[in-house]
Amino acid sequence: MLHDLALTSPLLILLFAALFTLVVDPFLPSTTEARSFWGRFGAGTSAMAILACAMLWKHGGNEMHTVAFGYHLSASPMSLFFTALVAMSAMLTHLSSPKYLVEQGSSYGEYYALLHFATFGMAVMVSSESLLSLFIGLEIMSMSIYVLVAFKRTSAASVEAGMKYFIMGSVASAFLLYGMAFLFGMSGGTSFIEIQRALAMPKPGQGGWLHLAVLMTMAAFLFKVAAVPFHMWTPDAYEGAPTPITGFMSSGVKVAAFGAFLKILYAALAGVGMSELHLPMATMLATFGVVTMTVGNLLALTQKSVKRMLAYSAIAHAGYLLLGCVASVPDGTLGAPYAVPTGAVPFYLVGYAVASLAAFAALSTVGSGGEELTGEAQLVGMGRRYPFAGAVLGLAMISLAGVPPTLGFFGKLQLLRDVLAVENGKYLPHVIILVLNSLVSAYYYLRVTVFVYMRPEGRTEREYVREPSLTWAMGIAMAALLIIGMLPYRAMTMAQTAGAGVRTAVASRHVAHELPAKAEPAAAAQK
Amino acid sequence: MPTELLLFYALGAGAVLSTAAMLLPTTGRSPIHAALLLIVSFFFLAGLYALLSAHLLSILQIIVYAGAIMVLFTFVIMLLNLSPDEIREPKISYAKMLGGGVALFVFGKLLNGIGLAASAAKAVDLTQHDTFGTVKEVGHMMYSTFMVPFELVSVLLLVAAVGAVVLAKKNLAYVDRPVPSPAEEFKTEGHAAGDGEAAAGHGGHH
Amino acid sequence: MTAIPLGHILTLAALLFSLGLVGVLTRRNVLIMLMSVEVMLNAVNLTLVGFSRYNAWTEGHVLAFFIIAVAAAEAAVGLALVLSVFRLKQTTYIDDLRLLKR
Repeated sequence: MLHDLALTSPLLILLFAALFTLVVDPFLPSTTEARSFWGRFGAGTSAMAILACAMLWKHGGNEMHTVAFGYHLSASPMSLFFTALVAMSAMLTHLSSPKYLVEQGSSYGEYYALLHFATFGMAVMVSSESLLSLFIGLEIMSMSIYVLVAFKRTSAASVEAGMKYFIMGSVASAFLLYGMAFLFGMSGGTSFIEIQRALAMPKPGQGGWLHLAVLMTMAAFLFKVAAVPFHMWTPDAYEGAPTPITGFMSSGVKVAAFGAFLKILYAALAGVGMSELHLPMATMLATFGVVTMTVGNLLALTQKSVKRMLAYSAIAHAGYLLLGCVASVPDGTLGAPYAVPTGAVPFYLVGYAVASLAAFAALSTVGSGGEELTGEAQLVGMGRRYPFAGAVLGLAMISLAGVPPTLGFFGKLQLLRDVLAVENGKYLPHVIILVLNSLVSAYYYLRVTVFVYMRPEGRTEREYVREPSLTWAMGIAMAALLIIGMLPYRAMTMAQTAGAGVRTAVASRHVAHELPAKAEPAAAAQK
Repeated sequence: MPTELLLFYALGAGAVLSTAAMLLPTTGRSPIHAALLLIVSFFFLAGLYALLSAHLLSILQIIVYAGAIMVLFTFVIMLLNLSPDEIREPKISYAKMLGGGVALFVFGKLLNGIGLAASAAKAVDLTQHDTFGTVKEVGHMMYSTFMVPFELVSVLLLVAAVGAVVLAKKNLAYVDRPVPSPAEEFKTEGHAAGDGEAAAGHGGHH
Repeated sequence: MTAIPLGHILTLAALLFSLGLVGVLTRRNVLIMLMSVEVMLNAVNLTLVGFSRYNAWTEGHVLAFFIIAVAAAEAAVGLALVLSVFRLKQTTYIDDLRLLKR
């Protein structure tokens, strides 16, 4: 029991931070100082969660005990890597929120509690070892995010965005549940181990159910990561939400969704290797990825509002990541048909999350006094009047575009390399389209940089929001972009370890133990 | 035809028909009619659960779904106080036709996927297992194997409660505008208290 | 033994799920869209109950219980959103929410 609590300590830190904020806030005076205290408190507790992840990562040698609380949660390398990443997104969001909310007139303590809850939900999602806890984590995250999107209560745009996002998200949840129900019907359980076992030894005639389960689950996650057939309302949600929350949605939510998706794909569904699912699942993923990135980039080209442009760019990045999901290598301990993801997606997510958080933190310096000013024209002069924010925004754009010496470039490079390595370049056409897409995207990213450094010609002085914790947020993001960008190898190795740790040691042992029994399916029938 | 099967078809037809009636633009045009039809459909489903030996779920379906969730729906519909001219005549559009097509496609896929395997399945005999689906058995499993998800669901419900209060309460601690000066703050606090909002349960800054 | 074939239960659930999907995709009133989502969740529950009955798996009932809890949470947040939209725009129709469309 104590051991379980230690393994889930990052999650518990986040949960207690949320409860503490919720309970103590009513007793604090409703002043700006109290709110910025919650911002700093949130950043501090998120940093503690990251620290807990780091300690568990370091002492994770005793692999036997990485499954906590009876196969519902785990502290596998994958779980820890993604938990640290969502906590990092939360930390920067906490720091960049207080001043923005005061300016927008909706500075309430509940915001920080909900932000913690959302992070907790994400951490549960990426640490789960069963579909049920994954789903509940997803719901905790989604509920908090719906409310946070609509948090500017007096702004019709914000509330509308929340409503649309809610309807889209709850349909996605229903699909995920239906897929789960079929997986349950085949395995009698929801833990990844049970599902893997059931799929390894399918009973006759269950192919149809498996087919449905895979399709439904995939549809749900395509919804969640805003891939193309389901992308309609995403830009609305991104544009209407408070700017720090938009940053959180494009970093934390994406990280959590892809972490959970990788777990479902590799630890549960593709326990027997993607090709053996009687479904061209990998091909479907790659195709969706290519369509998503192309549509996202083409729509991003025409946007005038930087916030909305970043929403479409988030769709495009979801496309790159979907293609990255097919990059796999054979499992180190179990061998051939069992695959694990490479470090491509985790590493790409680091660069993408940091860059988009930096961009949105810099953007939230522009609006003041209840207005949102995120049009391109309004950025003119930023590089001169507020050089630091301008530099952060410029650097973020360069990294998102994937220009060579940045983190975004290394992320894309590794993604390309790993996808090309799959089945001797089976995905070469997809990779070529990805490269072309990157070139197109460079145009609209760099256009923002040009606007930032354009000479303000006879324009009125614009006020920028300047505040210490916002500066900290931008500083941390910028430092992460530069430092990891210059020394990417350590982060790459960690991402590799995370990918290889998608299946907990216990699960691998189970599978290895049952492999010889594959010959007699009768043994599988007993539950 | 055995009684059990007959009952299944009757309840199933009831559930499908009341749901369809809820969705039809004629019978389910106003939200309150739709809500009432949905409650009817939930009762049929509760009957189906009982028929399938899910005793606890059958009761929960009535208490929680028909009793709590749908009452919340009807309560909100009453609260909105929609006037009849706000309820629109439904129009047929390409988007809707596309939506219907998508749903039909999903249904086809589902039928195709379900058909083959299910016909071969044989049910377990429950005569040896007469506690199946009772409060005792479900409860035991819920608090042992499923303890962690159970705790997580409690967090989810807390989030939903906080979220609903944040969104739906008319005035939070101070009216939605930048942090006021102490004097102003005093005024708005008085206003919020006078609004009779205390019942909403927000642990406000009083 | 039960006389109800599993295929019939699953087909009924699939029909309800598709009806719910029709509702979300074709109705324009937000309240009815939310109710349609509830129908979809109920269809999932029926599927779970059917599987549980056939294999005497109590786990399915526990899952269905959790789904009911999730549905309650969704209804609370969804209706709160409907209320706050209505307060600002006096509408319950999704077509009227086009402030953000360009």
